[in-house]
Amino acid sequence: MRGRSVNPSPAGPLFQPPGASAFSWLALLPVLLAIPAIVILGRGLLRGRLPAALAAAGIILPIAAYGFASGYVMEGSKEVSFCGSCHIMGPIVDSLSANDKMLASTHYTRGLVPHEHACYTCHSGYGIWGTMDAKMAGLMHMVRTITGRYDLPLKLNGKFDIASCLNCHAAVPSFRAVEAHQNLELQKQLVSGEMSCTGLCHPEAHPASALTGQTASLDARVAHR
Amino acid sequence: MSRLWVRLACALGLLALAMIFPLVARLSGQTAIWFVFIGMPALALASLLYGIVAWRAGGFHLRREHPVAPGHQGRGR
Repeated sequence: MRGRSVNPSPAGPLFQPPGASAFSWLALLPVLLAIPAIVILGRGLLRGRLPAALAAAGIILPIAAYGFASGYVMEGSKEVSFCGSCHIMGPIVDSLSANDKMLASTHYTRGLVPHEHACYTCHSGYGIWGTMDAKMAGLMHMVRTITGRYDLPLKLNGKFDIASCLNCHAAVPSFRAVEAHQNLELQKQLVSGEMSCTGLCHPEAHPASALTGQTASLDARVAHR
Repeated sequence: MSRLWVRLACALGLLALAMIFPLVARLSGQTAIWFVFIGMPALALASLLYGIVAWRAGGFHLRREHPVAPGHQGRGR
């Protein structure tokens, strides 16, 4: 998959995660189903009628192709390069590798989240409903991209689901050892969403400039002047 | 007239299938938008259109070659 990538990787097998170069059968299956479907529907287009058996295949094959293609989109849309392919998300994805002490950048550059699925790991929530919510949010992102109905600076829609953080941090001894984390009142406020991890105690997730649609390099140039 | 509708359904189906190729070649926000907001409605409309044409042509009707009148045995028995 092409598109915006935050991986300025030098070449070599050591820098490839296992399975990175594996062939994607999920990408091939829709094509394999679409080709005979195109032949059948092309025949129907030319002749204006289809025999019953071909008509059945002409309906089933495209639906099956769309089923596999939807699976491909579902899986592929978890990747950082997919998120960064829309221009409004580009600066945010760029800022991940900037190592600018922001929370997302810290997680990304230290490899604390899977590199290919960094956005999805933190923004999908936890469990099957987290995945469903993330896909619905992604669909709404598409609608807003088409209609241009989004405001800058970008803001998180609703409260951040702290379960995404706790999924990794909850059992970590160094996290549990922090005195502030042991405060029951604070814990309640964090879990209920009254209080956020970022801002007061931890840095913001993304730099403010990236949320306004500006690139980090542009900001650096402006600051230098 | 039904041939025109069949042609239209096939054209919509082909349009929907055409959305798969750029998606597989380069999965991005743009190709995903084409797939979801052009391809899927086109495929749904094509299926609906063809279904209506087939239904009006009697494609979904149960046909009996040799109807058996009440009280009669079937042929050859």
